[in-house]
Parts: sequence; C-alpha cells; structure tokens
Amino acid sequence: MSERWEQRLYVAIFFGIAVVLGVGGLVRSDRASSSLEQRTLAQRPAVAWADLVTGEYGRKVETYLSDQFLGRDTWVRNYARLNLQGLGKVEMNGVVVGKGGVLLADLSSHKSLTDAQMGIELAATMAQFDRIKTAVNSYGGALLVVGHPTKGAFLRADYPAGLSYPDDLIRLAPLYFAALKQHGIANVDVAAVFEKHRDEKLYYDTDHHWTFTGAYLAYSSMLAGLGVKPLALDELALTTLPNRFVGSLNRKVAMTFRQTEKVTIASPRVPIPYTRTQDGVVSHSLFAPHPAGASVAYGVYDQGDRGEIVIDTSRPELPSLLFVGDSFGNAIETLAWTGFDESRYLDLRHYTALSLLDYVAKYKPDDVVILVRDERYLYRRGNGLFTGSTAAVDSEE
Amino acid sequence: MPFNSVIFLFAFLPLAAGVYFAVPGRRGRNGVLLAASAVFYAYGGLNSLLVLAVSIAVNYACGMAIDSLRSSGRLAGAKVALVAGVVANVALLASFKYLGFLASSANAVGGLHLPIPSLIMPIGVSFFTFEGLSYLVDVYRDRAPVQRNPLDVALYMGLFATILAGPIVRYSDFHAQIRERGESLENVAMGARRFIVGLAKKAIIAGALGTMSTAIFATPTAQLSVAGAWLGALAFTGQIYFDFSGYSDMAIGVGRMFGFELPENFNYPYISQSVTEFWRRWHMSLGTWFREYVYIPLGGNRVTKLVNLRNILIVWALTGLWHGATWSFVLWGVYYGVLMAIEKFVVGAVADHVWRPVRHALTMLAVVVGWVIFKSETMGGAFAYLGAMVGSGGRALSDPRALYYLSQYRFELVVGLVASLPVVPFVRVLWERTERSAVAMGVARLGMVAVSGALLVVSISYIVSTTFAPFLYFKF
Repeated sequence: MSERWEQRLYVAIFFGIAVVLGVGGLVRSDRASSSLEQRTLAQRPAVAWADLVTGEYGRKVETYLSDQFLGRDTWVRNYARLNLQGLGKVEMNGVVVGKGGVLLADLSSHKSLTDAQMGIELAATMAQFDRIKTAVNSYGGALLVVGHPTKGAFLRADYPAGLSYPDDLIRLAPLYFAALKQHGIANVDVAAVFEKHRDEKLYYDTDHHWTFTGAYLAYSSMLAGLGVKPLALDELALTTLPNRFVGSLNRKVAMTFRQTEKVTIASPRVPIPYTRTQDGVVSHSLFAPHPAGASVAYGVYDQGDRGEIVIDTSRPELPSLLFVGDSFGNAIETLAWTGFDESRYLDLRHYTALSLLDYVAKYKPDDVVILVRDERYLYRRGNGLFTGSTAAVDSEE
Repeated sequence: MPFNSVIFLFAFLPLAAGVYFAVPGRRGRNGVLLAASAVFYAYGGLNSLLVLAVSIAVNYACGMAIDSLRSSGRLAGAKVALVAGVVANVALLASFKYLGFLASSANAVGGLHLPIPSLIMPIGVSFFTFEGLSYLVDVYRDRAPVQRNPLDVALYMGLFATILAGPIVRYSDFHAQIRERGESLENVAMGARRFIVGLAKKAIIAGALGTMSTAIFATPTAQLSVAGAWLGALAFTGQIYFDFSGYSDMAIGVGRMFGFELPENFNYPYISQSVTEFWRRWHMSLGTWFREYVYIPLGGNRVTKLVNLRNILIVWALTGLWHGATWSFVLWGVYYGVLMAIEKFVVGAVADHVWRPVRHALTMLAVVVGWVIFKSETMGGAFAYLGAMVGSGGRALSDPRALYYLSQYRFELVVGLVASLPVVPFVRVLWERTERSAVAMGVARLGMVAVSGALLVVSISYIVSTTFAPFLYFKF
C-alpha cells in the first residue's frame, strides 16, 4: 500500500466512522429507555436562554447525544465484555464479580459509620419504631420488624480480595436487633434463618434479590413471628417459568454473563378467592405477564414495585395485615396474602398519599410488618420514613 | 466542547472540516474556522464567550496602540500601552481565577471579613490570556507584525484546537500561519492519526488510572497502607500524563487537519534524568512561555547567582499559581523551583557522574511527590498522604485493597508504563534502519491503519459507555 493510500485510508476511517455514527444517531428516532441499562434515556433538551448562557445546554446535549448514540447497546455491551471478560476486571458499574461468578453489589463507596455515629442513628431509628409501635398497639394491633440480609452480606465471603462487605454493616446487625429487643419491638432476623439453609440457593447469581427459596424462608419466618401458620411447600403449586430470566446485576454489566437462571412462582394448591387492586386499580394477577418467549425479571412478583396493593380474601375470621417493604417484599407478598383476610402492601418509595402513621391510624390493621434489609437498617427515607406527612422517594431498588 | 465528547467527534469536527475544505480561499477558510471556534467555545456557555470577546478586543486595541506608537517612534508610549495591556490581561485572569483565593487568604492572614467572590471561571482563561500576553509582547518586541484585522487576533486567541487547554502558542510562531499554512491530504491524515492516539490515551488509559487514583486519594489516609498510597500516587502520575498529553495530541492533531503546526507539549517526560529535564519535557509550551515572557525579562541566568535564584523561584511560584488558586499549587510550584535551584547551584555537574538509573529513580521520586502535592486539595492533605507513602504511624506495608487495584488495573498500568517510554520512536528508528521491500512497507502501513482504526473503535465504546470525564487541565 502506498503512502498516499495510507493517508486516504486514515481520512476515510476517521471521518467515515464519525459521519456514519453522527448522522445515523440524528436520523434514527429517539428511544425512551434502555432495557439493557435499566434506565430512561435523555431526550432532546429544550433550548433555554439561561442554559445557553451557563453552558448547561451543552451538557444536556452531550448527555442526550450519548444516550441516543447509534448502536448504544452494542457499544455498551462490547465495552463491558472487553473489560470484564477481555481484561479480566472484577468490578464495573457498581457490580462485582465474586467467587464462582456470582454477581454482587459493589459497596466500596459505602460511607462507614463509627460506633458512636451508629449509636446516634440507631437511637433515632428506634424512636421512629417506638412511635409506630405505640400507634399500632393503641388499637390492639401488633408490630413486627423483619430484618433480612442483602446478598452482599449473606455471601460476603464471595467478594474478591480487596472488595469486602463493609465492616460497619456487619457490626450493625446485632446492635439493631438488640435495640429492637430493648425497645420491646417484636422482630425476626432472617439472617439467622438463612444461615441454617446456607447450602441452598437463596439468592440469584445474576440478580440482587432472593430466589423463591429465599423469599419463602423469609415469608415463613415472618408468619411464624406473627403467630400465623405459613403454607407449607407441599401446599403450594410451584411453577418454574421457562422464560429467560434477566438478572438486575447482569443487566448493569450489559448482560455480559450467561443467563441460565429461572424464576419460580407459587400459588396455593387449593385456590383462595381474592380481589386485588394495585395503586387503586383492579388488577387480579399476582404476577406480571410472562408470555412465552418474553424475558422476565424479578419484577414478575406482584407485578413489580407498586405504591399500594390491597388483596382481600373476604375471610373476616383471619387477621388483617399491613406489610411495608421494598422490592424484596414483592416475592413475599405473593405468598403472604394467603394467610390474611385483607392484606395491604405499601412501598413508601412510591406511596406518598399518607404517612405510615396516618395509614395505620386509618386502616388499623391487626398486624403491621415492616421489612428492612440490612443495608437500610438506619435509613430514614423512603421505606425507612414512617412519620413524615409524605414519604420521600429514594432510589433504592 | 471537549475533544472526547460525542458532539465534537460526531458532529462538530466532521461538519467543521467539511465546510472548511468546501470553502475556497484563505479569508473564507479563516472565517469558517473563526465561526466554528465561536460555536465550539460558546458551547461551554455564552458568558464565557463574552469574556473571550472582551479579552480579544482589549488585546487587539492594545496591539494596535503599541504598533502605532512604536512606529511613530514614541517608545515610552508603546511601553505604556504594553503595560496597560498586560495589566488588563492579568486583571481579567485574576478576577476570575484568583480573587476568591486572594480574599480568603487575606481573611485568613489578616483576620478580615472580605466577601469571597464566586465568579464562574471561563474554561481555558489561563490559556487564552497567556496567548493574549504573548501577542502584545511579541508585537512590542517587533518579533511579529500586529494584526490589523481583529478577526485574525480572534483566530489566534480563540482557535478551537488550542483554546481550552493549549498548547500555548507563541504569537511569533503562529502569525504566519494565519495567512499561509499547508492544508493537504497528508496533514488531514496525520492529524487524524495523532487525534486517535490522543483519544485512546485519554479514554482507555487516563480514565482507568483516574478511577483508581480518585478512589485511593478519597480513602482516609489513616486507612491507607504504604503500597496503597504509592499505588494511588503512581496512578495519578500516569493519569495526569495520559490525560494532558492525550489532550495535547488531540489538539495538535486537530490543528494539523486544518493545516496548523502547533508546538509539541510533551516529550516523554517520565524518562527524564533530572527535574530540570523533566520540565523541558512536560507541558513544554507553558515552560517556553514562562521562559520567554517572565524568566528572561527578569534577567534569566545572565545575572548574579542570588538574582538568578530569585528569578527561578518567582517563575516557579507563578507556574504553581497558574495551575490553580490554592496554596498547595503555590507550594507545588515553589517545590519545583527549589529542586531546580538545587540541581543548578548545588548538585551541578556532579549529577553527571551518578549512574543513570539512580538519577532517573530520584527524578521520578521527586515528580511523584510533586504530583501528590498537586493532587491534594490542601497542604495538610498533601503532607498526610506523603506520610502514608513513607509508612507514618506504623501503618501496614500492603493491604488487600491495594492488591485489588493492582490486579484490577494491571492492563492499564502495564500499557501506561510502556506508552510513557519512547518505544514507538525506538521502533520507528529500527524500522527505518532496516532494509525492507515495498510489500513489507505496504503491510506495515496497512497494519498501522488497522491499529489506529481499532483504537478509534475501542475509544468510542469507552466514551459512549462511561460517564463523561473532563480533562484535568480544563480547570487551570
């Protein structure tokens, strides 16, 4: 190849790629969201004089162009593969590749608390529980706090060397349950239950949530804590969905890892009639649609995160339940309703009409269960905020 | 509009180049470049463009006054116009960059309660102000002709290839290129190749090393092991080199696409045998500027040793201050001034008898320590970090986190190490000494194009997939 051809090739490659990708991104219609990245994508920003003056408009345009870049999913996927598989990195986008290929959350940016700080936060958290307990007890109801380990805590031995699970969170768990006991608040530590089942697969390898087995153990221990008999496994019809399961952590690394796990759902063998509303709208199914050939995520349980779900079985001889929790609660909800007359499920990240205190005062449920994951034991926003007039929405999953 | 942004790579640059080469004639093409530069700079905010426009107007007016007064023999008047221009430039820079620093320092030292102004610093103000000063001084010294067309002054100070972070082009080196420069297929091709190299340096190496150094420097120093602290310092040493030299490669490449020959900014600084040599190889255009417009006017080294020492310390304190309005930057500058003075007045020729690897190791030690001071936000932070590097407080020699970083970024560390050495020039010399057939030449050329193309594609995947990372030197 002559020098002249070399020069032509350089110009053709450089400007060819730039023009094709630039023009291609412009003519293609914009996408609203990326299923691969699990987020909404930036849309064309409106021109505002103030933004032009400060340069904010330029930053918005850059975000927009990057989000709507031609073939973005392919670029992102290749970047993830190159780094995780090609270069052997074990951390990307907040996901850590643990021992045996299990995907874990990267908590290296976690701000550790000193014991003194922990004590202050713990006291404030217990003060909230005291108020909700007083409110529930005032009409004869019972409060139960169910604390459970997150995947990172339970599988902390699987973190690669140098990326350990935060020490302060490990120290916090026993202090949390001791404080609950001291304040006379009934509680269940799911970690102790899980420990007895360590050999079973309690969490997905590619998702941060628990498997059906994990959720069932949490459900059983919760109902035991309430003095309600849970359905035994042989009373449930288990169905393993043939659909391709998409793990949340695998998605964060652009589905770099082979996805072979499946989701199991369960229904009582003896059908129990019920009505179900979610966010005020009648919606009978306890599971999100999962047509053949479509992928499913953990959000299949109870149709994903909802502000308020009400399931009424019209069995007044049974107690009523109010269950507060985040997405970990979704799988529990598909089982828990079987043991109650009316059960209400709140996710305070999304439900803002009433504070938890006001909600309790309004519906006076017999049993109030608050499900908390260990990373959020001291968290007082979203599902950790009980006393505000409206609950804060946060970004916890 | 950073060079590693999507809008620059996939919209601005191809469009600017397309229009530029479609327009015939020098005046028309300069007009295209000027318009493109205005859009490029305004992208960061119209308020910044206004500041640039004021700076250009002041320098144009002062340049005209200097030339007019000097031509009519009124040298004192020309000097007054020069001083007025210099004061105006320094005042502009100071008002955006140093006013807050001066006020807070006065409050701290004098117990005053001056309000701390918080003006948003226009990006690149340190660079275009220095070019404005170069313009005035070179016109005053009659090293280059005054520009009678203000648009030509604007093109010199505002050229999009250099405005954000240099290289700082001396006016005497640039003025002829406004009228005469060689656009050619070769220049566009070589410019594109240089740009790709710079983009890869920034996207692939600097980004990863930056992630590592940021994480380590953010760790409380009490929790750092000796190895961890060293790893963080070395990661930043690599990050700043690949970040800034990558930017410079892109700037020089873009300039070349449009026919400009911009000065080199780096010449493998990490192979230096002395701190003095390091600064001849690092940010060369800034060093040249300070030598030309500060050090030599102060008398340079043709003065007594004491005055020479004073000159060195002044230049280096200013160099530190140029990088940022904090005392740790001043300390960083003075640190280098002192080291250079020691090399010049104490060590002298003795260094020539020291084994080269030892000289190199000592130089790199000094440079790494310098980067720790540079990176630390406060002087206290710098000393605490340096303490961690020497094992203060009986800290552990190593820790799992340090080993994790070493493992996680091993590829970038190795590539960074190799790429900071003059391997490519070495191979090129070997290649040129070898007898080779036309076929071998062709295959080699094709291989180079393929490697460049691959680097471009990989860099794009990094740009699209990672959070946008601005260049470190944009804040100076």
